[in-house]
Order: sequence, then structure tokens, then C-alpha cells
Amino acid sequence: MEGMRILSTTTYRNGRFTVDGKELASSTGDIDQDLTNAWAAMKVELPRFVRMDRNSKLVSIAAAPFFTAEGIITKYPKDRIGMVIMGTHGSMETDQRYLDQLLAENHASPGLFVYTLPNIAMGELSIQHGLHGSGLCLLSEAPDVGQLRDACEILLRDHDMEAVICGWANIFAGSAVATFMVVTTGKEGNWDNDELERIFNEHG
Amino acid sequence: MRGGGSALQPIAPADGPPAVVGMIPEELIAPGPDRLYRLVDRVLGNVLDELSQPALNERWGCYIATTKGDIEALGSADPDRVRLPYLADHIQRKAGFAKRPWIISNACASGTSAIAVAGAAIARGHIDHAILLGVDLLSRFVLRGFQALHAVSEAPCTPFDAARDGTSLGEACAAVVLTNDPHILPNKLGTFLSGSIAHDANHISGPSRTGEGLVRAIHGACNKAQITASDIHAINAHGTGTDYNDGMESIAFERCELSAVPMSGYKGWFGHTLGAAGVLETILALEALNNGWVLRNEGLVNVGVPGKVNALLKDERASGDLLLKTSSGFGGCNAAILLQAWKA
Repeated sequence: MEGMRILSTTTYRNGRFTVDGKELASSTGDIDQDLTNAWAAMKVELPRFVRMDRNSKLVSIAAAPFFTAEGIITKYPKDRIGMVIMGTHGSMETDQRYLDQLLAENHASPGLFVYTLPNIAMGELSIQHGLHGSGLCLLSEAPDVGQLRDACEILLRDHDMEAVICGWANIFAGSAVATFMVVTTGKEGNWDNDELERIFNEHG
Repeated sequence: MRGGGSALQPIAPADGPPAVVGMIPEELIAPGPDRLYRLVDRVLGNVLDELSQPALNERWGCYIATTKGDIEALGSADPDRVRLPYLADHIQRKAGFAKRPWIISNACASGTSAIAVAGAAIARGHIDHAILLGVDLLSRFVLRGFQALHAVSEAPCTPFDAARDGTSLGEACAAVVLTNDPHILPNKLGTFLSGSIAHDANHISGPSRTGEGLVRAIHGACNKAQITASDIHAINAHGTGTDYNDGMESIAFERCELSAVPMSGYKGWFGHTLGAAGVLETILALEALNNGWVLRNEGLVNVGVPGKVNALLKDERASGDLLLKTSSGFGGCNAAILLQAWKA
């Protein structure tokens, strides 16, 4: 019986960005500066980055190391790469900015409105890297390892994906945290619910 | 829907442009700050009353499809309710699910995506039964946003019509049970066969001109169920009434060799219900097939889309029981499911 295999992990905690345990960027204390610094530390083109909302930036950064020239995902066909993204607040920070402008100026900004959906970050990821695969945007009060596992398994075994970019990302009230991984199937599974709970709790 | 016409009606907000919308009547759900939760409780209560096996143990899943949940609470005294997981916790407490409900937010493809995922979860043995609930309410937040994108029609929306000029927003809460044991249900709608989700990887707020993601989703669902285009008897499309969406869909259906299949979208009746649309429209399309019908596109007079489609101007007798349901949403997300009507 094949198992679920996690190939690579990135974590982002308020600017401190690590890829498979190696630190790529550290915190400055400024949420936008931190996101930009983490982006600059990437060896991957993200031409859409500057126009994205913060949630999309966070997801794009957390997944970017998988797409470098030597990145783990490059060996998979792009239409066989799926996405499972979970968070608590989704697009709520952008929702608030859009609503503030609507109330203060009676102006609905089309540019902000299109980012008021939590799955837009997943859409940005798919556009950025040309991913045509299956995808699910899930919301949960806390990281739900069981739901993430079931979702990855459905994408890998029922939706014909060969690899899934699976992650937790949450940005709200000045805090930005993400833990992303590449999940596939292999002879020996290494998906460990307890270990993942520990990683999510440690890194948000 | 067979005898009646569109339920869309004009509104004239004090602080924004007029629109035509589909509203849930006040006699069904009274206005007020916790309207979403009262509506969800009522629909969920109706589902639980029907079930012969009401203990929602760990073999039961719950899949909630929504885009904006209780967005009207944003900026209110109780902003916690805006968080979509708050709705999951509410439903878990109210219905007594052993497992935490899923919240699936794949934009306007949420409902169809949720059915695809729940069907796969049962086929995989993760669970035996699921309650699927799609919900989104009308809000100034969303209406003003769609108007800012020039995506809202001033008249009731007319999907696939040459003169279409935008969508009409609606609101709905719809629920359906999916199970591997039909004995627990008094009324049977149909059988879920397969589902697939795919991305355009093209644009965040506009669909692919070539229908790339939708073509991939339809092919995925057909391949999984080993069904070819000629086996399909009816298509329930997304059909928002916007130039881009309906054009994209027509191209995708033609590319999938579905040009001859009777096709309709239901948003001319009650508007675009966002995350609820996939659940609501699947239920209604199956109900129509069970009664031997493929319903028309309400409001459609002259078909005018770039791809060749058989968009129905009038209700038609169904030639079989196999339904393709599709949805597409912002973020370039597309979902397709195949279902078989129960008695057609």
C-alpha cells in the first residue's frame, strides 16, 4: 500500500522564512517589508507579486521555494500539480480594507474587490506557475491536519494529481504565518498527523 | 419553475446604483442581524428531520460551500461571525456532528466543488454519508463589488442571450445528503458518478477565453466515470449572464463535443447565488430530470455566444437521466460533476 509522502516544507512566521529548516529571511517587524524581503530572497520570478494583496503574497512566498530551478515540484507536469490551502481568516483583512473604502468614500474598488475571496491566493499561485490542476480552498478555526490529509488524498488519488502543494496560511491583525509542503504518494508514507500538528502549532 | 417566471426583482439602494436581485422572501426568513444563522438552522433542521439515522457520528461528513458567509457582520458589534470557520463551528454544535465540518470556498465554484469532494470522500471510504450545504446571502459588499466590475445587469439577467449584459445576484441556502446507503433517505434525487476541479491559470477575475480550465474539469469528470460526451443528456451550466462567462462556457462545451446536448443555466430565475449556486442548481436540475424535463434558460430569447451550444429557449422533455453540472469562479477555478437522476 502506497502512503502519503511529504517531500519538502517551508515555514513563514512574521518574516522568519525557512525552507526545509534553513532560514532564508528574518523578521524586521514590519509585515509588508517582511513579505517583500522574503520575496527578494527567492530565486523564482513572481512578476505579479507587487499587485497582490497580503494573503496572496504570503501564499505565493510560502510556495515559491518549490518552484526554483532545483525546486522539488519542477519534475511534475504542471497539470498534475494540485493545491490545498487552508486558513482561518482567508481574505478578511482585504475584506476590511475594501469595506472601509466603501463606507468612507462610497467607492467600491474593483481592484480590491477581486481579492475579497480566500481562494484568490490559490488562483494567483496557479497563474504564477501555470498550474491547471485541481484545488481546494478550505477554512478552519485552527489547522485541521485530518481535513488536509483527506483533501490531499482525494486530489492525489481521485483527481489524478501527482503532487499537491498543501499549506496553512493565515494573515490577520498584524500577524502572518504559513506552513507549506509538497505532498505526493510513495512506497513509504511519512505523513504523521502528530508531527504535523506540532509543526503547525510551532510555526502557526 | 416550469409554470412560473423569473423571481428577480428591482431594488433601489439609497447609496448605490439600482439592480435586479433574487431575494429569499421575508415570510421564509425574517430580516435581522443573524439572518444567515437562522436560515442555515432552518434548512439544516429540515434535512435532519428527514433522516432516518440522525446520529451524526464520525462516519458523517459536513461540507459547507460559501464565498462570503456572514459578510454583513463585518464592521458590526459581532465581527467574529464574519470568519467563515465560525459558521462551521455553529453548524457542528447545532447538528451535533462528531467531525468538524469542512468549509470549501472555491469562489462561485464552491458548491459544485463541495459535491465533487464529498463524493470522492465517500468513494474513498473516508466517510459513509455527508450533508452538503451551500449558502450565500445578498450583501451590499458583493453587489457593489460586482457593479464596480461592470458585471451586473440593469434588467433580469439573460444567460447565453445575445443581448446579455451582466448577471443578477441572488441568495440561497440549499442542502442535500450524499450517502452510500440510500435507505436512510425518504426522497432520492440521483446518483453522484464523478467530479473534477481544474484551474484556468489565466486571470483572477475573468475566465479563460478558451475555456481551458472548464474543458479540463469536464474531461476529468468524464474520464473518471468512463462516460463520453454522447452519453450526457443534459447540461446545467454556470450561465451567469456576463459576456465573458457565458462565452467561455459555450467554447468549452463545443470543445468537449457537447454542442448538441440540451443546456441551460438557472440564474435567470433566481440570480447568481455564488457559493450556494452549485448545490442549489444541482438539486433543481436533478429534480427536473426526475420529472422528465430539462428546463429552459429563463429570459433567453436569442442565443448569442461564440461556441456552438444547444441553449434551451423552452422546457424540453429529457431524453435520458445523465446530468453534467458545471460551475466556474474567480481565481480561475472550474468544477464539473456527473450525476444520474434517480427515476428519469
